[in-house]
Amino acid sequence: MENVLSKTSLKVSRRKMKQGSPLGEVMKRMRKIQSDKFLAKNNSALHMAAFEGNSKCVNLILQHMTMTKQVPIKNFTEIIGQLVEYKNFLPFLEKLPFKTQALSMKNVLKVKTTLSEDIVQMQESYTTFIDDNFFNKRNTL
Amino acid sequence: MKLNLENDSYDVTAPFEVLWDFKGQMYIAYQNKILFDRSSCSLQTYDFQDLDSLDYTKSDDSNLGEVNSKGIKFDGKNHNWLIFNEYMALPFSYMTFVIKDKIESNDSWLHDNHFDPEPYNYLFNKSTSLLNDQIVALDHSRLEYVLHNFGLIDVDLLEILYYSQTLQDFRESYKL
Repeated sequence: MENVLSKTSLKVSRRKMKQGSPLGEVMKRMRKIQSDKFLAKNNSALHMAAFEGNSKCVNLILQHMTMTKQVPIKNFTEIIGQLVEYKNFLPFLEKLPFKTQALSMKNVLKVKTTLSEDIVQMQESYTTFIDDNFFNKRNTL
Repeated sequence: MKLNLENDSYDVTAPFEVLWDFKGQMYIAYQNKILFDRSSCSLQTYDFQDLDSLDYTKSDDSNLGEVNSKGIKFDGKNHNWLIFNEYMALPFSYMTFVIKDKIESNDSWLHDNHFDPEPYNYLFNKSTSLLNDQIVALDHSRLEYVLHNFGLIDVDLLEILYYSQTLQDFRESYKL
């Protein structure tokens, strides 16, 4: 009997917490914070500075990132939304590489033998590039 | 390559050596740097000579060359070592942590010293000086001092900013 009572009281207390009691709200927030922390897949210096909200450090890191030869943006895609507010984000954005649609759909052709001296291999492709030599030859004909 | 599409490509100078860890992650050694495919950054933390001067690719014994080209050569778990033919390169040294300890305890002998990249340019257990210390989060003046001097010595040292750790989702194993 006591066990049954204790179980029902537990159920009631859990239901109360779910229905929006102050303790339930705190627990919810705690869980949300914990889950948000774990949801970030990467951790880098910029992640840490942005997480702490230290604007001076974020601006410093962004400023020095623009000095390097290349910026691997794929590491920072999770926090790119937060970085928009910072002063040095625009110079950082200008430094980023961009990929056109044609470049992203580029196919790599691997062939063992060529068809002829002029034609390497025939294959379907989403994009076709015609160089200047083609037009020059066509005009002369 | 993913589905016949080029996912990523890197321009490195010759000679270079492609290394693999037990997870199948790729690393490229060139000049005195290691390019991490996962983070897309080149770090100078691993202490080895330029591959040009090392000349390890030329081997008189062809069988030995074949043996050396196989197997895991990189510590994929902690990034704490890599192996060339008969060399093991470490991304940290004893002096790294000695100097770092003196800096953290504000040793009086450190005043008016020239900047030394040794205590800041290291990798230990998949963590760098910027990820270990609190300077990124709290001490912006020291961060500026380090990054400014990295830029003066060699701009490539700044690529340590791009080194990223992968965080695991513990919710699957431990229910919160």
